[in-house]
Amino acid sequence: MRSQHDDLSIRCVDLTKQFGDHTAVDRLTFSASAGTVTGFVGGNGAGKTTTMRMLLGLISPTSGRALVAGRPYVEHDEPRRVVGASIDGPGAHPARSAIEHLRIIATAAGLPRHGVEPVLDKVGLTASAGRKVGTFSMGMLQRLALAGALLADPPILILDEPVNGLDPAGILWMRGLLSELAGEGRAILVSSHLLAELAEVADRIVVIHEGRLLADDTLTNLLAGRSSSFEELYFELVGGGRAEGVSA
Amino acid sequence: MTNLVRAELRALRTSPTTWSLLLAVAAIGVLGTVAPLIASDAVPAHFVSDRGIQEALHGAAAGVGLVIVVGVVGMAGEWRWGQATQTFITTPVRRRVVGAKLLVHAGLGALFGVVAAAASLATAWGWYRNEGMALPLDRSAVWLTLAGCVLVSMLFGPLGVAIGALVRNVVAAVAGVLVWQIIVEPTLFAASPSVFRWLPGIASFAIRRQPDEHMLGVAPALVVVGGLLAAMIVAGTLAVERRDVTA
Repeated sequence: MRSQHDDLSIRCVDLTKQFGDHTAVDRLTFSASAGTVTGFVGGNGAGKTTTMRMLLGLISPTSGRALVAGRPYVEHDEPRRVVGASIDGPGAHPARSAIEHLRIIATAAGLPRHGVEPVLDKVGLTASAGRKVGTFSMGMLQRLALAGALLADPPILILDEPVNGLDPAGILWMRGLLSELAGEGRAILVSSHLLAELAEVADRIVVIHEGRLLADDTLTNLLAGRSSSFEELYFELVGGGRAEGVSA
Repeated sequence: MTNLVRAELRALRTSPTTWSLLLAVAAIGVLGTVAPLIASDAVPAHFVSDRGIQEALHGAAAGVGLVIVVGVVGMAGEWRWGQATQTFITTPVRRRVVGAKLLVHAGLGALFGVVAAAASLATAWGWYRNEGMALPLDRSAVWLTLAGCVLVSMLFGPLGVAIGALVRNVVAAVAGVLVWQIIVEPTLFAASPSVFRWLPGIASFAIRRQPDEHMLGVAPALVVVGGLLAAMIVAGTLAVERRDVTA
């Protein structure tokens, strides 16, 4: 990992997004710093993906700021070298091979072609590099999406539901990889519905519900003085009932 | 911009749609040339006249409407499989993406046009020879007709990109383009040629020198098609820049 940036953090400041009358994200403020895995938790429609898309310049905030490495994403000259993102799968044409998909991204980003094979190896897809993406399982698509995120060896990672579709061995592998990547000093923001899984990997937890921040602290601090588990704490925070799309 | 152009070329090269449509354009060029020649009952002298040459070769461009489809798929296709997310993460200044696609699809249009023109020229040359005549290659009518085919194709490529930038749904955009080209414009032109010759598709017939006394001149036809292209590029680029990428 190489970076010329001093501020290797992800920061949302009073971030708000409205789609018509619906407020998807409501004055959200939190940060994710270098060397930590920040778990981003919330049910379906809580605003996690919208927040991540605002951080990546894909959705314009209605108000507030979404900053990566101290600046809005669109202001980075070579954003892929600063932020790697896996959001809604690899975004690959099903008729294209995995290696060709990554080569197209590398070419567009001005990255060397020889960086593609090592990253496929890192995510365990070397044997499937020439296979068409349309034949990939959900778990392989997640690995390919992660390969795209890691292509430029960026210091910041934004990963939306990266363990969705992974089998138990894949989840274990992802857990190890996230710890390894954070250990290298990266700032990692990772969303998941799997609370127990997030509790295993995250140094810090950000909980949102209906676009609003409910909690932002280390898991240890959040659970301090309680006998309850993270799952129980989460459902307490969101108001008792089970939030849709969240599982223990 | 160079990286984006190279990436776009790589994406086109590895897309089966590009090659199948190129093949279709060549095949339509052959059929569009040979069918009217076989059906014609004109005397031999007619075939070596300027009008005869135009009648023989204007069919070269019959398939270049498909260049629009390639452009539409190249742009609107970004949303089909979620590529838009990766594309705009890589290049957040979205007008650069649109600019690269416009450039590449103009070049691709030129390639499609040249292939269609070559297919038509070879077909016409063979048919003339078979009929005991020689296609008069020294006549400007031959080359102006074929150049019109290439020019229309070069304009249609970016037009497809601009349409795809405005209409994200590939199926709707392609269906709309084909219905407009094949049904709407010809029907309106048949109903009132002097009015509807200003429609862009009909104007493109004039650029490729379709022999018809109701057609616009080449210059006003170029203004119509070029003007539409410019307007669509501006509207499409603004749409891509302003819309949220939510999938």
